[in-house]
Amino acid sequence: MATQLVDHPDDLEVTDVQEGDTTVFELDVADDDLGKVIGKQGRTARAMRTLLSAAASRTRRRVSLEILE
Amino acid sequence: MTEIAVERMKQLLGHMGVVGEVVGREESDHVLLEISGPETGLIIGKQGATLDALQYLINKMLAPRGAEPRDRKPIYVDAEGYRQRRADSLTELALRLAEKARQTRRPVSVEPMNPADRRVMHVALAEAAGVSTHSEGEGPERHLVIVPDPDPPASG
Repeated sequence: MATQLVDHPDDLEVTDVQEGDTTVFELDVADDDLGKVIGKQGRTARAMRTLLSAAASRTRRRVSLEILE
Repeated sequence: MTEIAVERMKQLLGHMGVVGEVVGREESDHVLLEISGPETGLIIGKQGATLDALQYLINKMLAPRGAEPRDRKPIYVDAEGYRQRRADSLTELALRLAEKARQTRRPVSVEPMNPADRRVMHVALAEAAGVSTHSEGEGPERHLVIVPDPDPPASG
């Protein structure tokens, strides 16, 4: 989903890390795409987190999204 | 651009692992994506939060490399008529709280809402007698306040 928000989709990497009952998605993007995935006042990041939580609500796992700088 | 929007929305739902049909319709000033299926409750989310997130992201995705700006229209996302139902219940709430403000002669603060929801309530009370509305607070705290008109000065 994130690939469609950035200018350099090839530089984008998503890793999921299991921490107890939480799945942490780590999003690594090209430096000049950082602003695009965060958005104005974090709106884009917040919207992505909302969708992740919705998707995870049927499972018992918790999810979180970390954006790596 | 309607087809692209429908395609992207299907992908987005697919990434979320959600089952849903997407129908797109181009209107004069926007494109409407209507989602239906067994999981619309999940797609709508609490107070429409998930629906708003989908709407925000689909607009972001199509914006940078989309068509010419002049033929780019904002995309609205709805599921099972949720937007209209929400507008109806907000209007009802607005009228009820306005009545409370008039009776108690005290301002009534409504819970924080997004701009679209606040707008529905402002509009609902624009013509209402005896009250006026404005918004207070910043960012996620921004909310509507319904203020009763001051009592007319006692005469004689």
